[in-house]
Amino acid sequence: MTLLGRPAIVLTLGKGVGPSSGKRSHKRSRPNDIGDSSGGDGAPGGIRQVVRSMLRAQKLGVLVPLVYDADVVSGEAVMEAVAGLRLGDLLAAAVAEFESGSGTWQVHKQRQVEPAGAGAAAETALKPLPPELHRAATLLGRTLAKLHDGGQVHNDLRGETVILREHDGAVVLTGFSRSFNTIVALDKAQDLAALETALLGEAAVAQQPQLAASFAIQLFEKVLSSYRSSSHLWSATHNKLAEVRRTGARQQEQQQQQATKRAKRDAEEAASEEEREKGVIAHS
Amino acid sequence: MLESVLEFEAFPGRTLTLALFKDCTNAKDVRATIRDSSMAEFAYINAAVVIDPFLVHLAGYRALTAESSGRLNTKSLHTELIYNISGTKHVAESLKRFGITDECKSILVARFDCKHEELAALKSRIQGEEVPLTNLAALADVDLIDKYYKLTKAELQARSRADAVAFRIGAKDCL
Repeated sequence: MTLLGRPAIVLTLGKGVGPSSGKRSHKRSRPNDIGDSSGGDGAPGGIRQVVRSMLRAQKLGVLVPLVYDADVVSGEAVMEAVAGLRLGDLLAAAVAEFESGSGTWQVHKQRQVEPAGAGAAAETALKPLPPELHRAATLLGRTLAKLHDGGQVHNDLRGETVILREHDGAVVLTGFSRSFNTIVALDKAQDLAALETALLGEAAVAQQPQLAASFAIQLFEKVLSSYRSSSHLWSATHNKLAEVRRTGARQQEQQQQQATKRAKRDAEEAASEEEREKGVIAHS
Repeated sequence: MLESVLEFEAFPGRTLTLALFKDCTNAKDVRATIRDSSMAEFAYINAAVVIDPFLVHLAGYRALTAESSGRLNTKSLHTELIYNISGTKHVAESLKRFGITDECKSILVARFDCKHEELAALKSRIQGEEVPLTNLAALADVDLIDKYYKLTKAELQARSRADAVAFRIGAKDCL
């Protein structure tokens, strides 16, 4: 659809919570809570929070879709529809092209999670990144560096949320529901690691998993090197990143365990509250 | 015919007519006509702080949306237009900064569903040279715009000024 002649899309972003209520109302809600959605894209602060996040990112010089109209009452926003490919699609297209180009090429076995470095690159099968992916990775690294240096993390980086704009190939970030402000290196490292995990995840289900994974790894390495040269705060993030990548899988498991424990505890508390109420009614 | 007539897909039948005057000498008198009830109601905007006609178009769209849902922030549709061009939620400040002052040299007038006679009557009241809307960018005071909308240097490296301002206008309710 268009708005006043410009291509636009309408997103429902949720209304956000009203007056505080509930068990954690006095604390900030955990941004990484899975299954904690209040309508639409699930941002706990609703449309206000998402739009504000996008504006903060834009002020740092990061490209985001323009917001043309945001209706707080209904939680709907009309945004610029950015014409271009998502990063995930670009990866898939590159894989498809290579597949059709070279049929008898052998792929070396490679492990999914490897420490960064030139050694790893030499071990994995080296199909060099096509120039578009190379360029995209460089731009993405620079954009993320700007964002993180400005004290914000996106927290939902994946093939879907990174768009390469059609007419100039610039990187546009979307999907700011989980974005938040932080200067903590761990959060930034987790942001980057999540991107790596997401890209590898998408590669695993691609047509040519090994080729796609090789591209994904190279892409991420390029993003990191570009991020390193553009960011002023690299060393702290770098240390945390190594840690996060090593414990990445373990952390995810732990988070899920905690989530189920919490859910059980909440259910038990609710059940015991009911019992208590029943007891009170019986007494009076 | 130097003025522009804009339409809205979401509000078929409504139009927004814009006309731009530069080198105005009687801004003071023009302000007096605002209170003159014999003349049709216009929005008088300080053209120096508007950099692109799209911004007025967008502000107009939001004004119509507010009107149709009965949620105007100001007393009339045309003051709502001026309020919507501003980047702040402070109504009085918006009208002061984006409306015209006595010393204004460039005036942008806008009216919803304007008729020819109304525009002609207005033109006779303003002492200034009418120019096409494309001159808006040339008449703009970019430093003032950057200050009013709080545009950062980093942002302007990545985006055009018009886009950055459009974001502020669209996102105003959330700020």
